[in-house]
Amino acid sequence: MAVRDGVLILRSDEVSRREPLAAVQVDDPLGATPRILRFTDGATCEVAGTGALRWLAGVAPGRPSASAWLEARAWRQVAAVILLSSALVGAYVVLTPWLAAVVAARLPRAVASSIGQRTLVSLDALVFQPSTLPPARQAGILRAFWNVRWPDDGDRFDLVLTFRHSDRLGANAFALPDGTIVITDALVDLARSDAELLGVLAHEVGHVDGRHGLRGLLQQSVVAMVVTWSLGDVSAVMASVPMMLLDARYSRAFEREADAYAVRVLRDNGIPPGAFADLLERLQAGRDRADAAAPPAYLSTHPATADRIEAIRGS
Amino acid sequence: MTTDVAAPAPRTEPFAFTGSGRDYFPIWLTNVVFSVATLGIYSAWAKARRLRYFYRHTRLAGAGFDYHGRPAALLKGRVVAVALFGLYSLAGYVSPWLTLASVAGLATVLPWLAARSFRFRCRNTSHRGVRFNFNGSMRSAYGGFLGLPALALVSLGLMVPFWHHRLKRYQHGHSAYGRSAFGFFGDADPFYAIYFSASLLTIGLGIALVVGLGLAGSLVTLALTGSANPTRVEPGSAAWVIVFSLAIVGYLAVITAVQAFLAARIGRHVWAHTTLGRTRFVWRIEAPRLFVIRLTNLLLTVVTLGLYRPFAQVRLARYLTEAFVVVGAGGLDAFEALPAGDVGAYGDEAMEFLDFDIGF
Repeated sequence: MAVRDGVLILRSDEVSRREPLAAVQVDDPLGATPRILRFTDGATCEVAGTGALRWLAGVAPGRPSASAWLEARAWRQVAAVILLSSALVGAYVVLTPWLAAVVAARLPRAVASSIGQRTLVSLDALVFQPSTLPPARQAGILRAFWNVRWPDDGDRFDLVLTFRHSDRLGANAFALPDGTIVITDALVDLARSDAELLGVLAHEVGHVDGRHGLRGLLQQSVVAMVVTWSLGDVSAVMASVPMMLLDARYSRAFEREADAYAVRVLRDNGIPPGAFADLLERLQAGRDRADAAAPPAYLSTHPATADRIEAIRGS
Repeated sequence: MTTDVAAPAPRTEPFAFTGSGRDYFPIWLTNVVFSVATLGIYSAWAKARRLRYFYRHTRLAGAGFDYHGRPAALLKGRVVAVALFGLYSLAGYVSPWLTLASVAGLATVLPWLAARSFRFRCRNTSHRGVRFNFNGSMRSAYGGFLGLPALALVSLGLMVPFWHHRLKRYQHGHSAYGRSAFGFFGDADPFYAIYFSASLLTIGLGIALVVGLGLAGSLVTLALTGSANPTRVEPGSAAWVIVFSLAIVGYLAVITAVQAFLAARIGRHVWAHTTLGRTRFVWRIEAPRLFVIRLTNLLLTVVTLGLYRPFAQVRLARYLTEAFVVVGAGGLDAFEALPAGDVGAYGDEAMEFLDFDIGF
């Protein structure tokens, strides 16, 4: 195989061809992949092997392209990987939360109430039993809750406070995207004053007000999509680990936001935020007694309780 | 006096794979970088480049295979796939009925998409300038991808081997290389035998995993904390991390072993019963070797945060390819005498609007 005066000369035992080089179609190089010459009459000739490919690259270097440019030098690839990683971190830390907040603010209320109602129905079936608190106690808490002055953040969901008993979940409280707040009997019993309970309730209202439910769902969807897209064909089990870690970090951010919200509300209502911290402390002590070990910080959906207490007291 | 004319011994021709991880690495990296930077749009081009790389490095009798799929067609497939999947996942947020409707909708179009994709893959593959083809009917596609899976579900999995057999028969029985048709004459019985062994293997390995983890957990906690009760281990502690990692690796090993067993046994059986004219195939793929390659590939890919992936792909492709042998029935010219006509019969004009690869 040779080129003389712009004519490609092919000679072997079986074939002998002379073709003007300009009329031969050669595909672009792709690493050391064999390249194929296509002649005008439909015949093809495959060029394989390092030596032959190097020769062909001199004759037909291929169209310049971004991929060829990147593949040509190792430092360009290193630079591209660094750039890309920074972009991905930025997308995770800044872009996704921002986008989720924008979308969550624009989603129709019907979506939030549909999700909230369905969540409550399934929670009722799985983990909740009806509350056994005396009606007078419930009424007292409700009265205290309705007397709270909330910061005027405009378009707010209607808050509905309900009581449930749960053997499985113990002392806990939940906020659903539609403004439903569930508090368990055990948590009410654990509180020594209404002020302490209002701290927890304000924290949950912080979740509702910040639309953390919807934002969390959206952020998790983005994380799931990206992780599945990039790791799905490696292993589904392996993909679930980074997903868990990435989601947990988002969740901890929401918890800190809700804590800050609670502190603000308590302060606006003349309640010392320390009351909220006291209840958190007692919750943690209960967990320590039950010897239920906390997961490591990077896996946890909540910031460490000690850090939360310190943040609340220090604010 | 008579002369015994010995029939020419069947000539065997092994496949060869000439790609290398080192050579493929920059191509893969470029694919990843551009795909992410374009929010996935480039992935169609990436796929075409990847397939071109692997096909051309797959060589038989001195000639490579080639992939002709155009990125635009692949992109169309991706858009359809993303739209279908997006519709399905969004439906769940709105109403359970909508989910049901979207599942029904998916079930209706998926067989069609699957058959189309398979045909696309075949028609865009060539060897020595001769294209492969696929002419399975839509009716069998609906039977195979919709009817039988439904039956398999209803029968609590007892129909799965049967369905798998029908699927292979559909694919191998309706493919062609140029003008010569592939034939498939395998029974469903061996599929049942293989699946039965796979179930036993799963149960055996599962028990071994649980027992082994219990033992390892006790040993690790004993060594690190002095108490042999692994349930008392604090999450996040060194012992917990070790036991947790062992559990993940063990679980992956069991899954990979069962998958490798199924893939190797089914693959060998299917190709042993596939013909192309007078040509036969032998796939000398061994489950233990496949298991070792896939598990180490997986672990190395995770440990290197993905950077080993191109090497893993090449390593697997080399094993799968080089275990493949073509047995020609008649002497030396068997392969050169493979149908030469019909070059490009399914060329560009066949790439109609609705042809695309959804890439299952």
